[in-house]
Formats: sequence, C-alpha cells, structure tokens
Amino acid sequence: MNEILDLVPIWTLILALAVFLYVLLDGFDLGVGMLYGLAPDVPSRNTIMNSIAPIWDGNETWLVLGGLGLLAAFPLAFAIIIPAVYFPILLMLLALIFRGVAFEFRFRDAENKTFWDHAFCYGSAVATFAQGVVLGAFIQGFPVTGRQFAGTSFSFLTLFSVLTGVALVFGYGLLGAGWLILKTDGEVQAAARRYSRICLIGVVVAIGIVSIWTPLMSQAVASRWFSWPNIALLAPVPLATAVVGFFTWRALNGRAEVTPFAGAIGLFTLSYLGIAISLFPMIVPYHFTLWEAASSPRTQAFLLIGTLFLLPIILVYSSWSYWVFRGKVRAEIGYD
Amino acid sequence: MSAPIGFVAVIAGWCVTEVGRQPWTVYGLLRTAASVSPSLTSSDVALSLLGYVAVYLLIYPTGLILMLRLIRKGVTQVADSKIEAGRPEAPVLAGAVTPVTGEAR
Repeated sequence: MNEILDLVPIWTLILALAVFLYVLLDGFDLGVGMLYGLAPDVPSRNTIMNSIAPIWDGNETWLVLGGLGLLAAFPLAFAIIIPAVYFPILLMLLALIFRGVAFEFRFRDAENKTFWDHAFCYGSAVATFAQGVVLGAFIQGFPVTGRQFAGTSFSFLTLFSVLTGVALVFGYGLLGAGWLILKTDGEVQAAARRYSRICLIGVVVAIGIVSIWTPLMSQAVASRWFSWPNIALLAPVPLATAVVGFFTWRALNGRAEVTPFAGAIGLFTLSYLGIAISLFPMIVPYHFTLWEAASSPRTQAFLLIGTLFLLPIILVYSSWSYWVFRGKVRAEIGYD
Repeated sequence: MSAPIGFVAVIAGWCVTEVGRQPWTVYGLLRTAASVSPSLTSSDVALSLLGYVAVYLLIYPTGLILMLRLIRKGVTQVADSKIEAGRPEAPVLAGAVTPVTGEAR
C-alpha cells in the first residue's frame, strides 16, 4: 500500500484545510461575538447576531473535522499535543457552551437577557483567547520524552502563548469586523469600521512580534527563513503581508465593503502560510514529523474513503447556507 | 410525568457502558491505567470536572426552566409561515415574530 501511494500528504492537506477553514469561518463569527459586546443598543445587537445566526454552528464543523482528523491520521501528534493544551482546550469548550446557548437563551429567556448577552460576548472572547494560547503553545513546542508529552498541564502557559492569545483576539476581531462591514450598513457598519482599524493595528503589531520572536526562540525556524537561498525565495511572504496590511488599512478608511473582509482573510492566509513554512514537516514541532506521527497506511486509506465522500457534502451544504443568507442583514422589524 | 425517564435512561446507559468496560479502554488490548495521559494529575481532572459541573449547573436548569415555560404556554396555532421569495427570515428574527399574526412583538 505505502509503496504505491503515500497518503500522508493527502491527510496533511485535509487537516490543514480543516484547521484553516475553521480559523477563518469560526474566526469571523467569534469575532462578531466579541464585537457584539460593544454594540450600544438592542437593534444593533439583533442585527449583529442575525448576521451569523444561520451559519455559526456550521462553521464549527471544521473544528470537529480538524480534531478528529488529527486523532485518526496523526495519532502520535494527538497523544502529545492534546494533553499539553488540556486546559486551554477545556476553557475553549466551556466558553463555546456559553456562547452557543446564548443564541437560544437570549431571545427566549427574556428575563435574563443581560446575562446571556454577556455570555455571548465573553464566551466568544475566552474561546478566542484560548485558541490563541493553543496556537502559541504549538509554535513554541512541547517538552517530549520518548513518545510522550513530558511537561505538566500548565507548561503551555508562557508569555509567548499569552501574547498569541491576545493576538488572536485582535485577529478574530478583525475578521468579525470585516464580516459586519460586508453584511450590515448604517451605524453598525460604521462602528465595525472603527473597531476594525483598532484590530488591524493589533494584528500587524502581533504579526511583527511573533515573526521576530519565533526565529529567536527556535534555531530551526531561524535557519528555515534566513538561510540562503530560502531568504530570497521566502521573502515574498512577509512582503505580501505588508502589502495586504497596507491595502486593508486603506480599504477600512474608504467606503469598500468587501475589501476589508478579503484583506483580513489575506492576512490570516499569509500568517498561516508563514507558520506552515516555519514548522513543516513537523506536526509536533521540533520532535516528530507528519510521517513519524502518521497512523498506518491502511488506517489512513480506510479513513480517506469516508472523508472523501463527506468533504464535498460539507462544502456543498455550507456554501448553500451562505448563499441562502447572502446580502445585507436587516433589522427593520421593531423590537420592544 | 414520564418526561424525565428518557434523560434517566440515556445517562444510565452511559454509566453502564463506562463502568461495564472497565478495566479496559480497548477491550483486551489496552487497560485504562495504561491509557491515561502521564501529564494529567488527579487535581487537573478534579479541576476540569469542577468546571464542567459548574457550567452544567447553570446551563441545565436554565434550559429546563425554558422548556417548562414553553410547555406551560402550550402549542401556538400554526399559521402560514411568512417566507418571501424562498428566503426565510434569519432565525433570530423568526424567533421574535409570533407565528399567528406574523407581526413583531
């Protein structure tokens, strides 16, 4: 089997796609959730919640696919990474519970509106921060002996992982604000523009700090980017990031409605690419490669059959729901 | 009155499965003691369990109160749902619209 076809690249692509789509899609709806907390009145809160109500739970599908894909296709990586980020993942799940039920409880449990408003906003913020911490812990690497995680449940907590946690709050905030600029108009859109400028500054500063800190932290990352000829071949990535950042800023100050969201997606794509370039082919950074952590070729082949049926179905129904709910969200019907 | 029976059955079934398969995680191959994450201490587990218990103690009764309130209200008369041009109202809006009149509360 493995002589004929190496399935590791295919599974790497599926996993990378699932994680990336999750970050983009749940990223913007978590960002919208955080911005919701800054909305001044009930009509604008209704508009903001309506802009993601039909699609947010579909977006979380990709988290399930990413998590289970890691477990099934790269079990060694799962066995090391998940215990290492046990508490941030736990925190994320608990925060997502609050945020998820807030959609239902807010409108139907009228007496406690305020509490569930807060649950929606803070749940989104805590989940985002926890995901950023997981990202930071992943980039900084885990203590490993043999084939096991050798740290404690709190080894993840460093200045770097807290920084990436805060960075992702700005990042998802930028995606969410871009979505609101795209989907709303009037006062809500104007507010989203204001917040997106703050978020963009935060994102650009964070990208800068992480780009300097990571090569200082890891010799492998430094030589990946700064050795010849890599430095010439890879220079377009930071250059493109600067260009996209610049044009996003300009779009935010103008009247464009699509460009801010597209720019935010561009910045996420380039950052994701940057992390991939830094760490490839490691799935447990600085310890195990994708091939070393992979499950057996037979397992990967078996799982691939089901996944190849499932992926197009998920993509079609997700796209369909976006299509059905296309255009601007309105809240002209009055609320008490 | 029989409403809670379903919940009891589900939870009891889960308990039977989890207790019944001990001491194995994978039957005949991997014992539970050997499959525990080495980094995970019992206080870590206690802390996370406490987190879940706290969240569920808040969420579950709220959901229960909500369901009981819906039951007390009874079934509202279903009128023709207002869908224009194949595009239904966004769910949050739809929830705030009373089905009988189609007008906002």
